[in-house]
Amino acid sequence: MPSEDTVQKYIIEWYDMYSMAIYKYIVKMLNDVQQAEDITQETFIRAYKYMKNERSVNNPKTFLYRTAHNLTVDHIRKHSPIQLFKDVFFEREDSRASIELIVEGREESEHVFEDLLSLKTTYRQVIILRKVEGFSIKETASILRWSESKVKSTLFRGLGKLESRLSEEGVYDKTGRKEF
Amino acid sequence: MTKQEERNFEHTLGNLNTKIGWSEDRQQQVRRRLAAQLNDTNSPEKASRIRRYMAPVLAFIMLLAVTGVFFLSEVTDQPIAEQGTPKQSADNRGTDQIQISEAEQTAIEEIEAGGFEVRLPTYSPIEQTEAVNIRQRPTGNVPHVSVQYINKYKEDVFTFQQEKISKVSETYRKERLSQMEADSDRQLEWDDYPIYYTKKGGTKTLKMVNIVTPQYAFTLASYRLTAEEIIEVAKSIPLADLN
Repeated sequence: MPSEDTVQKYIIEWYDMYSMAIYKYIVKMLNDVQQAEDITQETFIRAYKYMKNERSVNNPKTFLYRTAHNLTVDHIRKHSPIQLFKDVFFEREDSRASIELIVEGREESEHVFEDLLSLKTTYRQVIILRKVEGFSIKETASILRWSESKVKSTLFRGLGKLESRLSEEGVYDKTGRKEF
Repeated sequence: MTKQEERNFEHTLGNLNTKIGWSEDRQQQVRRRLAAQLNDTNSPEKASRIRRYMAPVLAFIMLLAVTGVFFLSEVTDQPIAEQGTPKQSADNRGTDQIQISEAEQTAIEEIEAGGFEVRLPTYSPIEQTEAVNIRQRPTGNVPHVSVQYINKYKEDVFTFQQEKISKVSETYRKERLSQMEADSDRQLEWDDYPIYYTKKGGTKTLKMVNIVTPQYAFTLASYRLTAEEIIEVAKSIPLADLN
């Protein structure tokens, strides 16, 4: 059994390897950089507590994504209602600006990001894990604790929603060329 | 979507990560916080070991003390009951039930040093409620402080948010207030400020209370507390002399 100090060393090593990816995953789920930092930190704390209880982790990356995913979904479930009041005062002034700040780059990425955020959580998470983070069906199923067939069907439906929203907004024209 | 569009779409999705940034500075800051928290997480373990051994000793000392008091009261012929009653909370509503650790107290002081007047609820209907994760978010023109209140089992009791809204335009504020008024299920007044109570349905009901003063807006939300309880919590926010 590794000592507490050894576990601590592992966690810091994992932080150096995976924190950027984990942070970006949470940002895409929440569109809130402050919360993303907090949840990133909490992800590694949870990993530490898990390993301290003499439990081993075979695939740290998938394990960390699963932990981050659970924390993020928990955050959305528990805290999104309290944001309502904030939104009341922020709606016009900040919501668009925050997207521009987070996504540095072409307008097309902003559109995709914005539409991704507007999807329901299950669609958003499966699209991000499969299409942005590049996890396999099997890995995505393991992170979300879904069956592989559920990953496939939810991804199919989610992508359909996202595509139709982008088409409605005229992001892609009928000849197949991007409008940007 | 044509095949070309689909390729573009997949490509854009795949590249989304490259468009999201996290400065090295911030990443290192979180790394330092993580390292500090990992060290702290170890400490309570050691403390609990000490407590494990100390508990029987303390219990024995207390037993001796109690026996001693009884013995003395018999000798001096004074009834124990006259020697004092347990400490009562100031307003008999349990205002001493919210605990704040020293670290969180320091966090409050740091926030206040920046000109944000933190006004936290002083009452909780749940015994041993603790205020944790006190954080300031410098979001745009409306910085806000959020706090989580948990019970002794580390379960959420309620969440609290205080926003500094002094820079929000008057027209916008009025517009949002009238919408809040329309959406709320109940309104009452406290310390000359309106309290808006709203409940949101679902499998579990979320109870929310909003109070808006000229400088600050307060939001309390809870799945656990009843409407009356969360309103009482809201009333314990010290609003007097709020600049």
